[in-house]
Amino acid sequence: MTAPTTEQEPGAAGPSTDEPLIRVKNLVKHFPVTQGIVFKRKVGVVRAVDDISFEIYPGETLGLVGESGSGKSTTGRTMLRLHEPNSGAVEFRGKNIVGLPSSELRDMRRNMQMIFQDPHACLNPRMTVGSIIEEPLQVHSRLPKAQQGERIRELLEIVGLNRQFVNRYPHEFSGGQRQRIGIARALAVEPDFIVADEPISALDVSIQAQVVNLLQDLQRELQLTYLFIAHDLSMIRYICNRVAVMYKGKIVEYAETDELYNNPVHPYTQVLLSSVPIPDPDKERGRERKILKADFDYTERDSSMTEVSPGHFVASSRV
Amino acid sequence: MNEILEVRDLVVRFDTQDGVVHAVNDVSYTLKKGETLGIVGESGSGKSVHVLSMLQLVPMPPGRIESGEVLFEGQDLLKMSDEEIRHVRGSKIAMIFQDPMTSLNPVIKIGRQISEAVQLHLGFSKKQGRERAIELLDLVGISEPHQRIDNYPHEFSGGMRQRAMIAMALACDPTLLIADEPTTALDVTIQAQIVELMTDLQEKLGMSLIWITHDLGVVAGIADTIQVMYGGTIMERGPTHNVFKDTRNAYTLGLLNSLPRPDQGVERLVPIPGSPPNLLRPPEGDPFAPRNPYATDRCFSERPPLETVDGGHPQHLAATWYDLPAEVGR
Repeated sequence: MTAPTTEQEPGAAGPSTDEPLIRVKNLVKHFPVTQGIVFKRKVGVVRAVDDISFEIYPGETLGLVGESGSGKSTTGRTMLRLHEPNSGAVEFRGKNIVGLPSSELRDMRRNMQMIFQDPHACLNPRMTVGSIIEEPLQVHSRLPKAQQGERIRELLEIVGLNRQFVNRYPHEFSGGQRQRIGIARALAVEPDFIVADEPISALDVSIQAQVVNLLQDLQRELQLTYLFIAHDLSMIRYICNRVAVMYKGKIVEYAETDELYNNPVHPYTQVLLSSVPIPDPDKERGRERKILKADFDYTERDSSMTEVSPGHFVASSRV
Repeated sequence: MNEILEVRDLVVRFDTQDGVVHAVNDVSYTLKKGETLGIVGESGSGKSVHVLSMLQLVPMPPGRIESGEVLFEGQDLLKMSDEEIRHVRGSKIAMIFQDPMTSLNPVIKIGRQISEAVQLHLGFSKKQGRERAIELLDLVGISEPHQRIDNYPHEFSGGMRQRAMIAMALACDPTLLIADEPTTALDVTIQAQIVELMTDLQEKLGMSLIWITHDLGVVAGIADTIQVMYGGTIMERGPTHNVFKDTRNAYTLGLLNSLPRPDQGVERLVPIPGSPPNLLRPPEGDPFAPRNPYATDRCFSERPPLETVDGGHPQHLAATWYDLPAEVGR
């Protein structure tokens, strides 16, 4: 294992510096559409993820944006093999995790964790906070049992909660605090890579910034690498080094964050960025918006990408 | 411009097993004809519930309107009988809700759901109702309304469903349209379409609009007046430009500072510390005081009144016992 030894500021990480931590190659995930109750017939497929490729470098945050149903969550889940991909490869430090037997997969999962969207739904209401965080420790038991209690309290402290909370139940906490518990659980096994699937969209505005700042601090302290899935493009701009835009199962454009926001090329990216409201009345009023047109086809037929400027890739048909 | 809605000292409580929830505390404001009011707040701020209680849409019990009056075109909505208020709702005051799927009946055709209101309130015949529904679907930008009118809600996309909801709300030419987080469940691209549609319609039809949201960005472009609510009270209210650029209340400022900007990079977000107040045990003073770095002793003991700000716009009101330092203003 080659954990990154130099401390990296988010933003300092770039495609040229390191080998990628994660390499996704031609990943495909189709869901069958079935009809009938007893004799299920396959009547079609949903191409949720349709031949996408990208890399994530150590210490960086890659943003994945797109409309609902564009396949961004499925991508994140398939990368952790919570869905079995139909084809393609997901390499973690050069090792393909697609096709790994479950015993080896379990070892890999220690390195890859997930934070979920809804902090109300992803914590078992009948378990105490302590046992919620303990569960991954038991599965991936690196620590002797005696030290686990201390580790749990330490994790609570890391995510900004009181050490005494171990015996409380999820319902005693607010949404922001619950999200912190979810983060503590993900951190329990000391992963290198975390998929954060809309981690703040269920939270109130005043709480979102708290959680995002926590994620950033943790990234710096623990050298974490994130895939940050979100539909809030303002937050994406703030937290991500690079951004990939998905539309109908394909990545249509990806680039460094500032480059993407300043020079969007794909028509869908342009509409997406122009739709984001700006909390400033003077700017908002003078804006020329690009509105999603019903009669325009934003869909890509194939997955070939062209590099329009260093590190900025756009679906070839739009270049 | 004359006033069409005047809310005076509205107080709403909920009796629950755990105690009395102080949901709305002394809310007063006015709305002019043709004005767009953006009400901004987080969950539990009272932004939705005070509007629902105005229209007698809050179930009572557990809800209870402790005091206050709501004058709409000179009449008190809170004193109306069920029948009277039902006539006002849907014809003069219309509402659009957050989730179009739960607000539409899945087993009734879109056209019939839209024409129901005009048949009921304006006495249209079935045929006239159908024509009106086609006209409305066309107005909200649904293509081929003649065919679409016979669709069921599941045949519409999320954005189209919200358009159908808007068509339904506009059916009887309301004088006031209340939109409660109408775009929160939609993608940003669809949100932009709906916002544009609503501003167009408002210009065309000249109605007043109350737009309830948690997103300051959405209302920045469309609202004439912004009203920020927290813990069941109004924290700040004024012309949009003044609330954004000459912010006087620490909560408004906190909200603005905790928002990332899509148009520029930010070094680091400044979150609001702590969490919202427990309305079962509402604080005696300013509900934001425990989270406010500028709070004075008086903030903790006494609730500040909503008053005109010093040296600002005459319509700009804020509830504070403190002055924000000049350097933190925007």
